[in-house]
Amino acid sequence: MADRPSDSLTVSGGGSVAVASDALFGDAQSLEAVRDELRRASSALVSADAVVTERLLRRSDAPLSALDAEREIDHALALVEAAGQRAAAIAFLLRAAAHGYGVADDAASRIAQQLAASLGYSIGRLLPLAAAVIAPALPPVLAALLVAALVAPKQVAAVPGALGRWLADNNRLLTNPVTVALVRAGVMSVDDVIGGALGLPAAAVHALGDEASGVAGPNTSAGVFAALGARFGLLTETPVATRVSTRQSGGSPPHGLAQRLDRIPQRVDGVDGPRGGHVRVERYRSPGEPDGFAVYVTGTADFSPKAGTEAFDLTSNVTGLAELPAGSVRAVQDAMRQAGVTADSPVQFAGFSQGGLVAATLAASGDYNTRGLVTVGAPTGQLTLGEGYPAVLLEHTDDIVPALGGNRADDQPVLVQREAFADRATPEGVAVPSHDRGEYRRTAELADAAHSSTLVDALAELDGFGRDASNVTSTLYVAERVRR
Amino acid sequence: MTDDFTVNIDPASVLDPAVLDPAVVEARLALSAQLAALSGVLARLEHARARVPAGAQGDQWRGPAQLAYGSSVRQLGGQLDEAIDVVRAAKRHTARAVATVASRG
Repeated sequence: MADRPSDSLTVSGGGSVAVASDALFGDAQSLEAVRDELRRASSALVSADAVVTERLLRRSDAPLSALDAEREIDHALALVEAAGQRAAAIAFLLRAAAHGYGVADDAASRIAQQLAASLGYSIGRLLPLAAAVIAPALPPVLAALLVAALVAPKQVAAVPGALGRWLADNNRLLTNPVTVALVRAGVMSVDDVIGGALGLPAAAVHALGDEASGVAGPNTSAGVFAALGARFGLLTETPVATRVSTRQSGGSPPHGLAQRLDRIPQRVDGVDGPRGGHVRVERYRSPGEPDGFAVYVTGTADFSPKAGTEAFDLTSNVTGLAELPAGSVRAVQDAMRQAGVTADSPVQFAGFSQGGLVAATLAASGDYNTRGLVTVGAPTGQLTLGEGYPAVLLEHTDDIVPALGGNRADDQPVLVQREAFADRATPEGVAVPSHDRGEYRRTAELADAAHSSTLVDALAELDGFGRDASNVTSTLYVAERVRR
Repeated sequence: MTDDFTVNIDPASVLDPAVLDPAVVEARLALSAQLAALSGVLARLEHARARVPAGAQGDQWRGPAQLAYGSSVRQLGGQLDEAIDVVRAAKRHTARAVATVASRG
């Protein structure tokens, strides 16, 4: 197996059901351009042929070479028309293949969702029985764990770390499109499992589920998890406080997806505590125009189920997936308010991972004058992002994080996918390497150089935002939870 | 590239006083216009040929469909190569005809 990154992109969305590689869309566009050029060449040949008539050749006693030229022109015309028809036919078939693939993919996805829902409901029905079987065994297991914790506390405390190391050492298990598809199906079926466990009728669970009315789905499941966690002091939301970290002037608006990803802040652990910010707000001033803003939102900084000081934590993840006001969402709203963003201000959003979920939530909220959205590796599947602004979503098909958002509910955004580790070994010691920002930067670079007109047009519209700015300021914000 | 082709011919070179046959003058003008038009057609065909895809090279598309696509694209390229050769031949014949008609003057 060659040790090289897969550079093949799959492009879909943009209001179309077609799904194909960027190369295939690029070929279709090239062939359509060839077809158009050949039509013009054909018209020009007809005109050239009409200039010299047979009557004129006879009257002028033209040389044989003139007659030879006439014959060659007729031959060329036949060849050009045939080539034009062939180019048109191939381009049509490529488009039809992309459309057919998209329709088939959508149908397969729906069938898989139905099957997963039925399986989930059956598992849910069995859960009370399983609990009844397992319950008698729990006291001795807990007692054994307690004894083990007293006798060898370090070894017991190391169990979660050991699990993490095992996952890091066996990351191919997680970095796999099949695993990602299973996770996505699992996320879509959690409501069915809960319905089955509660003993609700299958027809009612189906009618309420995302396969039918959509009343219950991954968002309600996440809400149930948040409510259950709250009973144990976990996943509890708190107020958040946002403060300015740094402010600087200069620079220019971003160009392309890679530059946008570079501007998304990163919160990292340092020797003296966390460093970096959570939200960056760029303000673009142009004479005679309202100020435009670009909002960049970081990913999850703390994966503990118990809320600490980080606003971008697991609690915000679960609350955000439940489509409830997560701490991270409120933090970004606060940063935007402090930066001077109003309901009328033109604003573009970009975010990585949880930041992408936050960015998409705010872009689609209707509370802002959204002019564009870019999400990178974000679980946004169940969000309806709406129309009226360009939206580009970057996802790796072997990254489980986007799968946590469930199946895609909106075909308006342009979805750019790549299997990051299709043709190469995964790095050692990283649990989810396909969620790495560096890997996504490579995908962003490839997308910036893509040929698919759907993607090219969306990028052009994104890049048009703030292009005439004469003054750019960038403010970095830190958002932290406040203890009540 | 535009759809119109402009032919700049020096009237003095065409309306040679020695040539009085209007049909010959008209033929020489027409053949010169045809020559210029064929140059434009050739440029269009070469441009189109350069845009013909190389054939399915993506690593996400394999099998009979890829082979059929590759074959179709190669045939298209072959047709265009032939069309370009034929237009070049038409140009050569036209240029020779222009020279022959001009030499009659």
